[in-house]
This record gives sequence, C-alpha cells and structure tokens, in this order.
Amino acid sequence: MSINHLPKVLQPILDSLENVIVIEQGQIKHQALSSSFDNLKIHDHLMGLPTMPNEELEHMGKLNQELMNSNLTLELKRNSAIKETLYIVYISEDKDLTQRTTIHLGVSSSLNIVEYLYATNNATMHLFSDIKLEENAQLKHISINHITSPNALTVNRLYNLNASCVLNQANVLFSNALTHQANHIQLLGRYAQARTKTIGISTKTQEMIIKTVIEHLAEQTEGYIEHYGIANDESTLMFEGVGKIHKHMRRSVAKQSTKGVVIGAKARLDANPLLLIDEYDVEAGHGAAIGRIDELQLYYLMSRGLSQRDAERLIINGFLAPFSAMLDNEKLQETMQDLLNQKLQ
Amino acid sequence: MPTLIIKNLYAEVEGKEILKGVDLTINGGETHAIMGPNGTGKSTLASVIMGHPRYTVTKGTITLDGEDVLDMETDERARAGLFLAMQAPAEVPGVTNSDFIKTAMNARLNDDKKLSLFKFIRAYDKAVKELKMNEDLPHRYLNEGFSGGEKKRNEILQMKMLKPRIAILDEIDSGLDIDALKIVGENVTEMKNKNLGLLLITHYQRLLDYISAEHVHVMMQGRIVKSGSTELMKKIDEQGYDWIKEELGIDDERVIPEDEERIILGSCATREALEKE
Repeated sequence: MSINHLPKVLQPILDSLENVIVIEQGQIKHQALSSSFDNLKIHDHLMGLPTMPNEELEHMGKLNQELMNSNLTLELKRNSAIKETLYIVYISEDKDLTQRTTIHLGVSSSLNIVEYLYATNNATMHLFSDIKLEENAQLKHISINHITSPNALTVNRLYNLNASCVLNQANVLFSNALTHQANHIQLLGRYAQARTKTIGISTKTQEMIIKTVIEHLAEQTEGYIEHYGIANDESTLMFEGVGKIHKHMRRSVAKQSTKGVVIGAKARLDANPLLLIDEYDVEAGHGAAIGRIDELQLYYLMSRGLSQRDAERLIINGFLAPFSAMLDNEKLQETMQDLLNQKLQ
Repeated sequence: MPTLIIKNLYAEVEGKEILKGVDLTINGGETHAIMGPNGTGKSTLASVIMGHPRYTVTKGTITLDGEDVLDMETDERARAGLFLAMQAPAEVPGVTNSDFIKTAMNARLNDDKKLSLFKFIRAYDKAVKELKMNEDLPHRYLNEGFSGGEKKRNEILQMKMLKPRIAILDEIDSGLDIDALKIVGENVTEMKNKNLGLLLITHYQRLLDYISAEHVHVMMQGRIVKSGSTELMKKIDEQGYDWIKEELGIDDERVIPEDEERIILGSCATREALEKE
C-alpha cells in the first residue's frame, strides 16, 4: 500500500500491512480491506455513549463526547469469523486527535485488531474506545503506540463481555508523552474470559500511569492481568491492577502479575495490585517482581562475551517477547524492537 | 598456545573466605581435572576465574598469557578466551538461544565486521545435531524450561560455537544420564587441541571415562592439596578421599558448611517464589 502525504516514518510499516484503515486528523484517509471483511460494517457516524461503570470513566467519556473530532465504528455481523488481522492506524501530526472508536461484535463472531497510534510534533491524542462483545464472540485486540510528541496521551477503553466471550488484549506503550491508560473490562456473562497485558517504558521525566480493571459480574468468569515495566532516567511508571469479584460470582478466577525493571538511578516504578473479592469460592492471586536487572542473568550473558550494555539490551528486549508473539506481522515486530531501543538509547 | 596461571588465590563470598591459596597452571592442549568432596571450593574457583559478581578476590593473581584477568570485567575475560560451562546457568525469558549466541559471536568481531548469518545458521544447526538436541532449540528462550540435561548440553553447544582458549566445565556431568554424558564427552573430546586448555571440575571419576584428563588435582579446605596423574584418579575411585585426609592430617575438608552451601550458591529464593505465582 502506498499513500501520499502520510508520514514517511510510517511508510515501511504501512507497506507491510494488509487490511488497513488509516485515520488522519479525524478522517478515514485510506481503507483497503479484503473480501474477508465483507461482514464488517464500518461507519463514521456516532453511536451513543455506553453506561459507564464508574465516575472516572463517565467523566472521560463525556469529555471525549464534547471534544471528539474523529469517530470510527466497527460492527461485525453474528457468526462472522475473520481470521485476517485488521490494522487501524491513527495518525496525528499537528492537530490534537480526540478519537472515539466503537467496536461491536455480534454473537459468535471473531475479530483480530491491531491499532497503531502515531502522534508527532506537539499533537496530543485522546482515545476513548467502547467495545462490546455479544455472546460467544472473540476479540484479539493489540495496541502499539508510537508517540514522539511530548504532550499528553490518554487512552480509555471499556470492554463489555457477554457469556462465553474471550478477549485477548495487549498494549505496548512506547510513548514519550505524559501517558494515562485505563482499560476497564466487565465480564458480564458466564464463562467470559479476559487476558490483558501491558508493557510500559518510561524515560526522562516522563510520567506513565497504567490502570487495568477486570470486573467479574458473572459466575465462572476468568480475568488475567499482566503488567511489564521498564523505568529509566528520572521517570515514574505506575501500574494499578484491579481484579474485582462481586458477591455470588462463584468459581471465578482473578490473577495478576507485575514484572518491572528499574534502570534509572532516579526512576520510580510502582505496582499496586488490588484484589477486591466479595465471594469465597474463587481463585485469586498476584505476584510482583520489581528491581534492577537480575545480576545472575547479566553475569551469565557477560560470561559469553556480551558487554554489559548488550546484555541489558537483550534482557530488556526479552520483555517484548510475549507481545511479539501476538503479532504475525514481522515488520511490526521489528518496529517494536526499534522503538524500544530508540526509547532506551 | 594459551596459558592460564593462578597464583596463591584467596577469595571470599559475603565475608566468608572460601579459597585459601590456590595455585594452578593450565596450558593449551592440557586437560586438568579438579576433584574433591562437596563444599571444598571447587565451584568457587570456577566462578572466581570467570568474575562472578558475588565473589571477591582478596589476594593472589590470575593471568591469561600474562594479561591480568582479575583486572578484566566478565565480558572482557570471555572475549580474551575464557569460558565457563556453569553448573546452574541462568534462565533468561524472552531471549532466544540463537539471538544470544549470535550477539556473543558478534561481540568478538571488530566493529567493521559482521557475522555471516548463513554461516552462523549452518554452524549452529550442525552443533545442535552433534549434541543431539531438539531442532527447535534456536527459537526457545535461553534455558527457560530446560531440563537439567538440556542445560548442560546447551552449555557445551555454546562452547562449540564460541571456541574458547581456556574452558572450565563445572560439574558438567552432574544430573546427566549416561547417554547424555556420552554425547557431552564425545563433543568435548572432539574439541581438544593444542589451543584449548581444559579444566574439568567434578565429584565423580565417571566423567573422566569420557573425557580423559592427564592432570588430576584434589581440592580440600579451599586449595589444591594433591596433584597427580590418572593414577591418582584411579586411587580416589577405589579408596575415596579418606587416605588423602589422613596423609595430610586434614580433619574437616570443607570450607563451606553443608547448610550454607545452598544459600551461597543457590539463587534468590524470594525471586523464585514470586515467579512461581
């Protein structure tokens, strides 16, 4: 795919993508989809705001409603299973982008989406996504952000999963901006399952706050939260993970883990795992391992001749592995490595 | 031809002295075996030569071809030609075996040269076959989820790829079944040449059936107390170590009390517990 007037840095990435929607300054600039996506309706008009689970999201939703200058609505018909991945590229070069994305998957449908967020110069980007999965639907949703703008990035997503739905969600945060990401996942129907992982890399004086909530509102639901972080220089990186099992939601599973490395002498990395459980018959747990790079891993790699810098780089790149594994596009895997190394230079 | 000279080496871990005057010279083409009961400082010697961050050298020297090894960082020692096949190599999730060894080989080249990917893959595949390891090895993460035997073979695989000048194999035989031991033995023996000096550290004489060693040393109380040839090894195999202790008037051969051994040499228990969560 080749489109004029799009940022040069993105060209090689765009070239590697099939089935892509490009949104720039609030307009769909390009759309190239194979016939596999015939059952996917794409609108640029609005759907109403969903009911929000808490005040914070309510506030963010209203703010988004007021300031929104770009909208994308995807609707997938029931029983449509699309194997190919849909790439959505959001570009914001000068103007601020306030985006609302609505995704609605019909009963027993399935979709893979990779979002690529690109903002440069001084543009800010604010995303609000409202995602609803009807019974037995499956969604794989990956978001990679490539924000060179130092200004704010906010991402709020609300996922509603009905019975037997499966959500596989991942976020790779390479932004240089003041970053706030909040993903709120509601498991509304029995056997609904959500697995979400986020990697955040903070540098310089950046502040990055990442919040993930999985709320169990039905029996036998499962939620897994994984947070990975690398804090460099004088930055602050905060993870808040909440697994909330409401009363009577028996035999539910809420688990989370945090793995963090602090490289910068003045950097801060906080992990606040919360398990709010109002039912006895559940399985829940959390673990956190935060510290400097493992001394014995470093020693092992160096004992084969790798310089300390190369060894550290390799170990840190290893953090990306669970995310790379979710992508089947090699160019994007490479891009992620490059963005990570650029960020840590 | 490389020469590693260790002179009057003293070293400690967490304030506890473990090595108490080790003297040893290894030349290219020679194979040395250090034997001895548990807790006498054998593995500590290996770790100190490689520059393990938890050990501090308090006295003595180590030189490789006249260069001061103790003045080098661990990676510089490796690039100078030292290699340690570790008893318990670290697991590094997310880093594939092939990326790791490729980076290690590139680190040995000058900036303007780069490793030929084609040659690398061919050499790696060949080594994997020779060690009878699974074909998916290059794509697996470094030692993660490896069985004890796989880890040991992976160490030897790295040695084959990196072609060191002085190689120390720290208890490469422990936990290996007889078939794996044969494979390791054959591969190490095949690598022997006048530009490779070998140091084997072991409890068991069995290893020396597969890798012959013409110099045998016994370590007790943090130093080498007896040296000899294959004759010495045979005598130890038949009679154990008691006769040496008697001969030298050694009461307790250990420098590391049994209950402390795990704490000093084991990995961080808290970390492991967390990872298991």
